[in-house]
Amino acid sequence: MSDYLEGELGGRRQRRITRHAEACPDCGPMLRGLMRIRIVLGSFGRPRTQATVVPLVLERIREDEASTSAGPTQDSRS
Amino acid sequence: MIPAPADPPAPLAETPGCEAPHDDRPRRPHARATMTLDDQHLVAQAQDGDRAAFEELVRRHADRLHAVVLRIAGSNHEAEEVTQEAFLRAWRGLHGFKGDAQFFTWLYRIGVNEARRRAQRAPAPGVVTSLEEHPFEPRDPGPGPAGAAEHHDLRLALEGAVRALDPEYRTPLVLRDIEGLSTADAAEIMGLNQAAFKSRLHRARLAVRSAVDGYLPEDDT
Amino acid sequence: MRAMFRHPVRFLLDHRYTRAHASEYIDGELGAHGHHRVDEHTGICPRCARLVESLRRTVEGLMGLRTQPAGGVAEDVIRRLRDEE
Repeated sequence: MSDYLEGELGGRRQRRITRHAEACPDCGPMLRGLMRIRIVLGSFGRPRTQATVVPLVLERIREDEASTSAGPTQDSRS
Repeated sequence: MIPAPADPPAPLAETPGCEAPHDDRPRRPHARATMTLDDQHLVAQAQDGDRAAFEELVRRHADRLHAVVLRIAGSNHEAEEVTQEAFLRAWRGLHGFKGDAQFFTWLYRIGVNEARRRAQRAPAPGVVTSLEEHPFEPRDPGPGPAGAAEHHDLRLALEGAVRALDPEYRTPLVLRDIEGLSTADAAEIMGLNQAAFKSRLHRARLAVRSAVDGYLPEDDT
Repeated sequence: MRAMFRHPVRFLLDHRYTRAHASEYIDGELGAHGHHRVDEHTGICPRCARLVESLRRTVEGLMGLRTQPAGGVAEDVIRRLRDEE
């Protein structure tokens, strides 16, 4: 099955499985489902992460608090 | 005081009739995937002046809001500014938040609207910008089945098509199709009724489809 | 194709309806009647069938652009697989 999905079976065996999947009500949906899962997994690629902005936002809020806080007591940074 | 991590609020069922947001909002790395997020508790505390509670809301939402704003506004610099400003305005204006809406739609509305404004002022697409301005990198094809290279091309084409959209069409697409928000939440964030939102979304999708039609996978049935 | 000629007005109306509501159709946001209408029409109109399918693939592609949530790859994978069902 995984060889089929990878396209690594020989041409004749590939075609046999494809023809069977088209005709068989059980295998067809299952195979197509596996292909879709494979496409989804394959679409991930390199992790598309962004560096977190949480520290930046927290800093901004704390600065704002510090500059607008009234009395001499300062918030302790947690 | 916010609850300690080991003592989360009692398990919460979704409020009946309340549309769940996309089910993977930002969490602290060690949080279990099954933990249900409840912002209401934190918002109530923050409204009482508990800044630590608000900071927890920052931890939960800042990165996802930034990701959305980045796609709408287009530059890292703008996105960081907008995100900071959105949370600041939320913190200052928290008393104006009514508990009937969800916190994150209220927050996103602030950030997304500002991002839309900035995007309208930005130069038209096609103007050369630095690589730093386009932080989204599809993977290198590398060795592997031919399909990998095709996905790479499709992703590049999609990224370009999204960037090329007018901000007023880019925004619904980013919220609904890229970020995965519900129609109801996305429309509320944009301040549109659902019919108007869907109409824009549909036109945005058609435009992107036209742009990437040659890269879409062939029918495999 | 015969349906197009046997009921040309209805075909045209369904054609326009499908093109206007294709997004809602693929999102599952059409009512049962509307959904059925598009189902039937795409069965006899190859152009609309292609439109709907390419629209679907476009939206799937867009889903793949989402940057990773802070939780990491595992949650993202689980969510995507769930969406596939």
